[in-house]
Amino acid sequence: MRPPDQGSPDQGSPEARDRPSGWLPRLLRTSSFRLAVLYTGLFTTSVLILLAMMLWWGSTYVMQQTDQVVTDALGDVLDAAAKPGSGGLRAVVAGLVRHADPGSRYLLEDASGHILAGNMPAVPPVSGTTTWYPNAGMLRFWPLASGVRGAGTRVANGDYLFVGRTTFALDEMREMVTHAFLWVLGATLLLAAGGGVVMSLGSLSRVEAIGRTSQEIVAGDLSRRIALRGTDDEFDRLALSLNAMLDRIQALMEGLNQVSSDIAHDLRTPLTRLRQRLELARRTGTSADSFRQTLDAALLDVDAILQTFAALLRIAQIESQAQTTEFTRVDLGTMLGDLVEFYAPLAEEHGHTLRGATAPGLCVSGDAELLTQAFANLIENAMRHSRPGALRVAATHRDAAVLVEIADPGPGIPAAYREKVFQRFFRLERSRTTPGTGLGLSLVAAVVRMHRAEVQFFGGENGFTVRVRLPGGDAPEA
Amino acid sequence: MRILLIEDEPETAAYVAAGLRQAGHDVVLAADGRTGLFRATGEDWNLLIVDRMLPGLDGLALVRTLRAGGIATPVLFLTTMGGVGDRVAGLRAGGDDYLVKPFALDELAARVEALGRRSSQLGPDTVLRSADLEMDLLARTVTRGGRKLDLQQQEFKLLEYLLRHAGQVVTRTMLLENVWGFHFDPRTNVVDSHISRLRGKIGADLIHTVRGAGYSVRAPDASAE
Repeated sequence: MRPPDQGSPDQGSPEARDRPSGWLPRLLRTSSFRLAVLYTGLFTTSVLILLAMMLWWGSTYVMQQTDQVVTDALGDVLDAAAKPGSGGLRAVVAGLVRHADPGSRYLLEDASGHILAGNMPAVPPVSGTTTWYPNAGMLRFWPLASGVRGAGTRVANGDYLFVGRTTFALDEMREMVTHAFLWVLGATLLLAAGGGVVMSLGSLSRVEAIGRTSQEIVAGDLSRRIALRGTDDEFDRLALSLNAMLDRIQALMEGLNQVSSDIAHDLRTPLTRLRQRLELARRTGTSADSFRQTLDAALLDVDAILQTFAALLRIAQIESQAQTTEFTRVDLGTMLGDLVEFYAPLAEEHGHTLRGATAPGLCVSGDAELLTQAFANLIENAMRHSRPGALRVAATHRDAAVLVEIADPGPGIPAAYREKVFQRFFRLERSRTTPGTGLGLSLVAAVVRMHRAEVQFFGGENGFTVRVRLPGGDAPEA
Repeated sequence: MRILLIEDEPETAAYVAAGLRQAGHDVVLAADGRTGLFRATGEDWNLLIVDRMLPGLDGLALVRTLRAGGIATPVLFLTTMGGVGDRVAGLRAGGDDYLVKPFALDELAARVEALGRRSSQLGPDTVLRSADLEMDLLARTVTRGGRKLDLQQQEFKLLEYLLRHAGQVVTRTMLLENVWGFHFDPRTNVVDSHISRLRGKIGADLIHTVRGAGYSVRAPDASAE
């Protein structure tokens, strides 16, 4: 065995393993930070998709508006030229060009493509609405590119009239939307990264607190518990179940310590007696007969010790096989009836009357042999530790459970010891003089735990009842 | 009785062999499973005593093989395991009785006697007798010197078991297992209490207490020596 708390040098001290290798890398490795990064990425992507869709739809809308405007304007120009005294189409267009706002474009060219009037370069004569990209060669199929959107028509003398508007407003809108989105995106990235760090730091500190506590427990302080924050979040709940587990482990460890010291203690007494007996016989024994007597007594002592070991072993077996035993249907009514019949003569010798109030057919799922032994122990206890009087064994089915009650005239187990009696070797002061190993109720406890049942004590000085509540079970059919 | 003891632990083997030889039996020892199986199949025995944990071939497999080969010699298992499942497994494999170590030689001797007798018995009796006591198993009546005795059911079963093993020693554990079907050790002298009741009804001179071992039914004149 290795002494505790003296970790071998090759293993590295706990402090060395515990020391952070820089908080940043560890922060970046936390699951919450990774999650934050993932979400930021997803959000960015969705913002970008949204931006593209808004630009597309916005542009399409503006384009349709423009088409309407230029078609109307083309009509207006033709109407104005048709009015008497307008000076013809060329004069109207020239007049419009002079007073045009910066976004308007007009063009009047003859059939050979010479500009007669207008404020834009010559274009091929196309009827209907179309877009010209004077500076944009390859980008012509990209509806967002800057150009001139307009409507054209051929007039009667073969000239071509085109009225359009630059896509300046569209460009403005696009720029605005893009800017807004970039700002939002930037802010989001900052918030996400910051939030991720804060969140990660929070969970990191909780996890590290749990880790530190675990290290302390590993180092030997079993009484340490993980601190709760009272927020009832997942860490608190994790801490609660870990603490419950630690409670159980601590109880088991203490029980184990208790048991081994109890065993040592309880077996020393009969062994001491045995040794004294043998030593005395060796010193003072004279005849073969006296030696034989000593040997008989010694054998009885040894048998008692072996019996104690057998009982301990049996309890340990029951506790370890608790998970693996296959239960069968046990007729508790018949079993208890048999036990009552079995113990009745002995009870009578002790001045009791043992009666049963059980009916065959009251069944539970369980291990028949172990249940028999547990109830036998309880009946024997009642017989040995109570005043002479009426002992009663009853079994009923109530509230989805079978209740077995063993009642005696008292004095029973004092309230202060009702938990302790299940411990191995525990015996009440007043029963120390009677024979017994102090293991009877420990076995009952083990069997009861195996059946997920419970034992309760009622009454006391003037009538005492032990109740075993076995979950499930079914009553005999009436 | 000719007994084959299959046990690998020398100390236990010597202890068991000495005890049984003292009781007048002829004991042969086999120290591992294969030798044991070889001798058990090759010779005639009244009883096999088999340790469950054996090198070579474990006790359960050994007895299963024997039974599969049609050999019906009674088998008494010895074991250090005392769990419920272990006993059931032993009996299921074809064992006739089961004794958990550590045991007293008296207990072993009594069980050996009972098993050996069983193998020589042919068919169940319908009337059991000892001295002037008569038990009719069909009519379920008991008479002593012609006078009818009123016995309760468990007293009847107890007396029946004792009478079937008349002349042998019957231990308390054997009574617990065979009369009541209990496989645990009561911490009280409850068996003695039943015996004294039975004595009260049939007379105190038939059932004798064997110190340190158990009880034995013998006719009164036979025990007068």
